[in-house]
Amino acid sequence: MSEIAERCAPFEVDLSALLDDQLDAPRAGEVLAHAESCRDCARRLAALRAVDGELRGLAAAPVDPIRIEALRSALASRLREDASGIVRAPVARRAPPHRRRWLAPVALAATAAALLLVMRPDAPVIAPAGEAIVAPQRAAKSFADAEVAARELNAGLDTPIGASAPSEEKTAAATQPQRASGGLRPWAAALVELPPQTGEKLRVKLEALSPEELRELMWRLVHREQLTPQQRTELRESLAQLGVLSPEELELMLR
Amino acid sequence: MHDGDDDVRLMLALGAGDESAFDRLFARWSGPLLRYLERIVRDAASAEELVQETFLRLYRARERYEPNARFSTWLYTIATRLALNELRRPRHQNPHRSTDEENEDGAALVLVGDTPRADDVAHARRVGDAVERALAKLPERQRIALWLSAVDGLSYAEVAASLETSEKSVKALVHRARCTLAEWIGAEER
Repeated sequence: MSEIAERCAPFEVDLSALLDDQLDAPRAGEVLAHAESCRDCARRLAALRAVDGELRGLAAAPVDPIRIEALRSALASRLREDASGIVRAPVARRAPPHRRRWLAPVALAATAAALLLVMRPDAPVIAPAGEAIVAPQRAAKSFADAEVAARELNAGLDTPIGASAPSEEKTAAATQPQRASGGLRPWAAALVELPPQTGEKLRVKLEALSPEELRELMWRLVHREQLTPQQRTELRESLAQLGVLSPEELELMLR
Repeated sequence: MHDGDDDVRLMLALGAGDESAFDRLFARWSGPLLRYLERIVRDAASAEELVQETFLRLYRARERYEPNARFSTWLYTIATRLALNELRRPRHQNPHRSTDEENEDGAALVLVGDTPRADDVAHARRVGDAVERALAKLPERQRIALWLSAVDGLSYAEVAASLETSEKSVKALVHRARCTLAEWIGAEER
């Protein structure tokens, strides 16, 4: 901002306070009167007001509801840990994000778990909170099994915050095969068409991603039909960067 | 006593055993808190962790909660102190992630790990606008003071309580932050 003239100096800091409604009425009147009679201060006040407008614009941008749901699930999980007396290391001492692959619960990790289950049928389903919810009763040879796994994880994740989630309920949910959300079925079907070696390589690559990166990738895959051309290009590039899929396999994943 | 505050009523209900009150508080405040914390710690994953931690502390404090201030002031005070602690961690101190330094190109991408998420890149492009970048370059206490007063409507006294400083300091922090942003934004627009 331009250099402050001597006559303006007594009002300078109060320009902000005026915008924040932090001046008493007499002082607010003085500052306003000065600003009306001083071109520099009027301009300064307008510039400061414009900053507030920009900031409010940033604050008004909606937060992705998927992130909020993921947070809700993660919090529910931590509250359950609290209720059961599990001592958890504070944020500061926990592993950095890229090492916490399955520790940060995210709602769409259900989709990721389904993916891993499809590609590694004998593996137990690992809950996002790091606990094994239940080992599958049979090998997952099709996407139908993956759907069950996804439902099973969702049953654990969808528990209202603060409520306890007895493991019996999760197990019961697992016995009720239900359709998973829209995009999972064709994509899981595409996965089982991949050669086993490619599937294994892909699994290793995906496991190396942070939960946030995995969630992002999964979200885009599951919602690929709604992506803009630019987002679709980015998704294609992200998958290609994994360095596992041939061009034909890439097309298979994106079809 | 701020019992005219809806959120205070919800908090008191939670303390009395109404768990649904917690859901309602979460629904109302998780978004604003996440937006605030992302601007302060400049890291999406850390901000999410801090939102969780804030609500966890809120839940743990439910039975001993006393409505001595507006609920928002109390909530933001918890979040702000957690954020300041987080910013003291080594991973926020390296030259590439310093809270008060800018990246080489002046941009402040919110990154997770070393690989920008597609959404972050798109977001950074979208908010390639001057204000987001300029805000990220402000010293952390200026950033906090400005956001809490200009965006979340906390009084200087309330911000001072969150930052454990005086109202006079907050007034100066807010003004310096606003002037700096106005200058940077003006410079980018020219």
